Amino acid sequence: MDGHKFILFFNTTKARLLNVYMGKYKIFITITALQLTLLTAFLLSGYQSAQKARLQQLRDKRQIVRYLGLTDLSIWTEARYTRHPSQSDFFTPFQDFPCSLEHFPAGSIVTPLQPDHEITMEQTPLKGREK
Amino acid sequence: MIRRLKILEHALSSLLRRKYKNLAIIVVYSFTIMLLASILFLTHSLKIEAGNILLDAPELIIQKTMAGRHDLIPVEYADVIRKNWGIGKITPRYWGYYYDAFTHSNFTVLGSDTPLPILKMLEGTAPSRPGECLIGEGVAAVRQIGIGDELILINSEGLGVIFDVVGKFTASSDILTNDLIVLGEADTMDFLGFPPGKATDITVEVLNPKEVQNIAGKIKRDLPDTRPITKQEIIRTYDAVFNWRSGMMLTIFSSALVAFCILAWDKATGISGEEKNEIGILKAIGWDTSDILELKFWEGIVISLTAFLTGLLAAYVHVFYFGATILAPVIKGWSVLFPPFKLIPFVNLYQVFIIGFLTVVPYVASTIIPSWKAAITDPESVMRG
Amino acid sequence: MTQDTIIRTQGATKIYNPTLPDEMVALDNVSVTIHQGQATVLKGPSGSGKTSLLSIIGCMSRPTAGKVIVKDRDVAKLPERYLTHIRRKIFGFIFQQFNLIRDISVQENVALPLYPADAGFAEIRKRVHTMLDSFGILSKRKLKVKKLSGGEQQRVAIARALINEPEIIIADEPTAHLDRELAADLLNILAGLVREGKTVIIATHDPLIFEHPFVDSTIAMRNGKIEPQPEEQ
Repeated sequence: MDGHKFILFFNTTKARLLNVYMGKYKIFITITALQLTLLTAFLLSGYQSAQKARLQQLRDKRQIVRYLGLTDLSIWTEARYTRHPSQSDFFTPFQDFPCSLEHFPAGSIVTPLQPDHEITMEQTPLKGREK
Repeated sequence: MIRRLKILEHALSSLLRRKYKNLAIIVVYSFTIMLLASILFLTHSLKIEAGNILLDAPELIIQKTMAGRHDLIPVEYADVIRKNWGIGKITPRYWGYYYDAFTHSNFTVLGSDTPLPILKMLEGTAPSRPGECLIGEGVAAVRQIGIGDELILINSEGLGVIFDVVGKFTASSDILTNDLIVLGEADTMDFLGFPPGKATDITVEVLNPKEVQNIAGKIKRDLPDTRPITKQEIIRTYDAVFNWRSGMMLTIFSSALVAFCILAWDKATGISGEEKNEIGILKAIGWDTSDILELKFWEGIVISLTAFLTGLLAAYVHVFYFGATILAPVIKGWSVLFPPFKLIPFVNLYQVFIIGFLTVVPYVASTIIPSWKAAITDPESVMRG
Repeated sequence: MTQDTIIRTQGATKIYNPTLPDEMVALDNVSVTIHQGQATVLKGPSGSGKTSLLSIIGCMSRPTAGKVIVKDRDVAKLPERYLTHIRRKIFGFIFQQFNLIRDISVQENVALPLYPADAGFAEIRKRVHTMLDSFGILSKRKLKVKKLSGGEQQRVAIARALINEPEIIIADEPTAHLDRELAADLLNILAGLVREGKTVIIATHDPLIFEHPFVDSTIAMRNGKIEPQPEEQ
């Protein structure tokens, strides 16, 4: 379909949709029904895949947890108490990231400074094996 | 029924008259609902996942504290712990953190000599010889390495240490393993510079889960400088964390919702002379007060239901198909390593109904209520132009 | 022509904002009788109470005191719901400013009085088509009202007033915004309605109307009261 035809098609379709006389309710009900169907389909398929995942993925993840003795999710790696929230105590500020300003409200809003002095791989002598 | 459809028909005609304005309202409204629903979907799903995965976490973890801080625990403590009844395996864990200056990210270094079973989520193997390592997807990605490559880390003495990558966790396990570097236990102790006879902490298997609290109490008495952490506490921590995070975001976004409500209220309460006149006309030609209110009800429903369903669909796709791209920055803070959210779609229907209730009802109300007065007035006014 | 009474008011009084400083007596003890199948004109200067009387007769508002008997039923004390019902079943209104909804189509405007009634969509469509056809504006049915000329809008307004087949047509200053030609047109339409047996009540101060031959009786009003008739018709 070339551009002109498309615009023509678009305009007539739009005009038809807007000028539907006593049938707009059908369009609305159709759209709503479609949305509801889609949502139900999402929720059902989501439920199904959640069930499947419960059997497969979760089993695998639980194996990893059991074999490695893990205790936490690796979502927030910036500080000790965010990487292992269940392992940290209640009151100590954990400053694991160099120059990090930690403590909740500030820490989650302000990003730490980038450190000035950092080691590069070239400066680092190797232990044992040759590079 | 047909009468309702006819009134709905006129409501749609009415809305179409200001189609760009109403479309804009639907778009903004949908977006707000999408954000709210996304937060709820995301945190609920994470919470369920955490609750499920961590069921296999150690029953009891014993940490040593020193000067109020977490300290390395002497391995001999295991002998004291073993004296309690009902205890299974006691395992010292060797793990710690590694700040990688090259990528500005934190890794978790974990020592394990337990051979892992064959898992779909594991490519290659777990380390079985010194100098081998197994890494998470995130580590592999920021270091741009894979199985067969070398991973160079700087140890506590400032020396570079080379590990051969023999295994990699796949992305589907990211939520657990993204930042992990698994080494052999001896390698870990050597690399992180553990003093001899010290471990990070000790996990304790408890044979009867009902006895966990009891045993934890006994250990705390026998070893006053330790802190036992139970699995229940771990799971509770995650509940709290996600409640807190989602609560924080909800607070922020509910202010968006409130702002929207104010807008809607303003729009609706500022019922114009034109609208009043229209209501008068409808009444004059035989529409009842209840018909007018039903008209307004439909106008509210059309906008808010459409926006609600659109927002919900968008939220579902956003969270479960696109890994919550919009929300991720809010959740992840500033960490460099951040697992992509490949979430299992656990959805709480109750939450969906709550969102529906909190969005559709106020909007419909704010459409109907202002028209109330105009609807109960005698239509005579239209004769007086 | 029958002489049956269709509407009667007895001592109808309408006071706006009673007991307030801006209290206004619009109708003062008005008793009139309207006969079925006739054209009745209420004439008088503006502010004489014509519109108030029309709105009371047409069940658009209730009198402060007195009776309004429409088809043997006193409607003065009926709850609003019943008034709406009577309005829908018995009356058709033609307003001074056509009072159309300007942004929706001609056919929807005409169909609106049928929406709260029992008619289904197919029936409504048929009736609206027939009605628009009889006024020669069927071809304009999909246009928005604001795109029509004054004369066409007037026809739409009349079509809307007639769509629910009312027995009584009420017109308030129908010629006020029309030129002579359109006004003559309108009067022909109204005359036609009377011939069909409808009752027509018109409030106006336009001599063109009350001097028109189809008018059966004239009620003169001044200051909310009926002026004594100089001669019996």
